[in-house]
Amino acid sequence: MDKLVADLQEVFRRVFDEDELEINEATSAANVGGWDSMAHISLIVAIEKRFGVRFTASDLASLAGAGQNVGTLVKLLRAKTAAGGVGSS
Amino acid sequence: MIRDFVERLALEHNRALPLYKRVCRPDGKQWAEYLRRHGNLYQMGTGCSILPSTRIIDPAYTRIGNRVCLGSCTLICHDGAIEMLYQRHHLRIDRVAPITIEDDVFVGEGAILLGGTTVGEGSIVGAGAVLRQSVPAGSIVMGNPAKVVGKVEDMIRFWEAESMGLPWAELIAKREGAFDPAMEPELRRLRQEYFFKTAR
Repeated sequence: MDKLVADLQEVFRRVFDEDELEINEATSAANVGGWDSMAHISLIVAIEKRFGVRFTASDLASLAGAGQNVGTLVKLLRAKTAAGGVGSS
Repeated sequence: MIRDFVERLALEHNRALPLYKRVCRPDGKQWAEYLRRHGNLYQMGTGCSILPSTRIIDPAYTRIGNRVCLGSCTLICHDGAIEMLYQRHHLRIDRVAPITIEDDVFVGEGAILLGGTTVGEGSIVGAGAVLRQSVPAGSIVMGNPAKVVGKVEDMIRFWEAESMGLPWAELIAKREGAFDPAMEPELRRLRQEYFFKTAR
């Protein structure tokens, strides 16, 4: 599994309190129990902490609605990695 | 003119209350002002909005801060079970505790706040939540029993971003406050087109 997706999976497992949860880039809110609008906020805040990034208003807008999926998250995180914005802790 | 007279009777003299409700149909801000003057709350701040359908069962033990917004919720400071316990077991029990709602709190439709709880400054209590424990400032609380599910400061970032992406974002950017009757017909049309593909 891609390192970034594996790290994201750890965050998902913690936020949704599900040790066996597995994700991939096709995973969306429809596939994860409890991934509602409030959990989405907790998830994004946890991802920001884990990766040492801060999503902009434009990023957050792209993560709403149809963009509420792992693929969009990975794309945004990769762009920030390329820009040198991702921390390691 | 009759409306003004009835309103003055109610607000200044605490009289003709049913008539005031029926004729003037006070909005949240007007009803909050009535409660501030005559509601017998232990303490109540200014700039609040409280719907007339809100039930404040024990005003003497209720403290409400400034700019608090209450939907049709219920605030209960006592436990009514003690009457039954006295009748059945001859127990002499007291079960009364205060409710404190700090400044800038919003409480949604159908929420129930029980005695002994404090809602911290700037918090949001979601619709239907049943609050049995105090929550710290800036919390978002939901469910029964109510739990803190997030922070208002985090939610604001998301809601702002979502609002910016809406087809009617330009109108919202110009709107003062949460509701502008002059803007509403156009907003309704745009929302209906977006939600249902056609406006009515």
